[in-house]
Amino acid sequence: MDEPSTLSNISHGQLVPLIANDKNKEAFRILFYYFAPRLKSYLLNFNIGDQKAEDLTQEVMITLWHKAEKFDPEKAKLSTWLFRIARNKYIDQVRKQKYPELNVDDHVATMVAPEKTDQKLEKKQTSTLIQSAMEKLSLEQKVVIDLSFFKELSHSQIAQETGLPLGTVKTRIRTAFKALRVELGDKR
Amino acid sequence: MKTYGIIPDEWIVSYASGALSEAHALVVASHCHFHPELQGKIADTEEIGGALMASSNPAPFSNILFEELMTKIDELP
Repeated sequence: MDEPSTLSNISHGQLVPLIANDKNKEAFRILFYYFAPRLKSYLLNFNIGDQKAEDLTQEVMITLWHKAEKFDPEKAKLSTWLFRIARNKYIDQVRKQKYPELNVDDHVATMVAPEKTDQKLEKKQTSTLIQSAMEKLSLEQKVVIDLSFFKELSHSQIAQETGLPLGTVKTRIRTAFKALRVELGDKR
Repeated sequence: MKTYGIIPDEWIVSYASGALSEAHALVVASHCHFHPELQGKIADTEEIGGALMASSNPAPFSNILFEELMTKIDELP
């Protein structure tokens, strides 16, 4: 799929207001081509099949189209916002649960004050930072983070999957999370 | 390890990744509602989830899907 060239130099977060204010289809097309295949990839981890993953991805993107005005680039990154929508739609539609959600965007500044960063630069580099931070985790830590995020496994399910004692699973998640936060906090 | 009451970090990670049962998630959400520091940790974890999603290998997607999606959007009330 070729991405259209117009607007391609604008950061993803800056494209969203164009959708909110003008229903700009080209801005939406750019975001669709970037995020839809990645959202689908994330959702495919839950073994829901290709069609269901595409259906949920479409719903996430439709939510972006209709609720773009609710995205605040000063408070969250677009990838974070879309991740939350995809996670909640999966839980709601596949697991048939209502997941109690907290609005935590007003408390984002625990690691860095948003106004002190170059937002555009930060958005472009966050995925790279996370990948780099993930690579620095031990294999044991990486496994439990992957199973948490990409399989949505509970602690006891991770223990069962890995054959580890429950206490060890909890310790590894805790130390991995601490390492990721330190790594990201140091770099941002 | 400072756990801010009854919620340790491994529960924060599981909450943000969507791995908790409805009842467990309710306990975490209710508790964190009163602790801004824990809300900051949830925000950090969701940011990690978003970045992991965004750095996933793109899955094959139908070339006509965008047009289908726009048609669907146009047909919505």
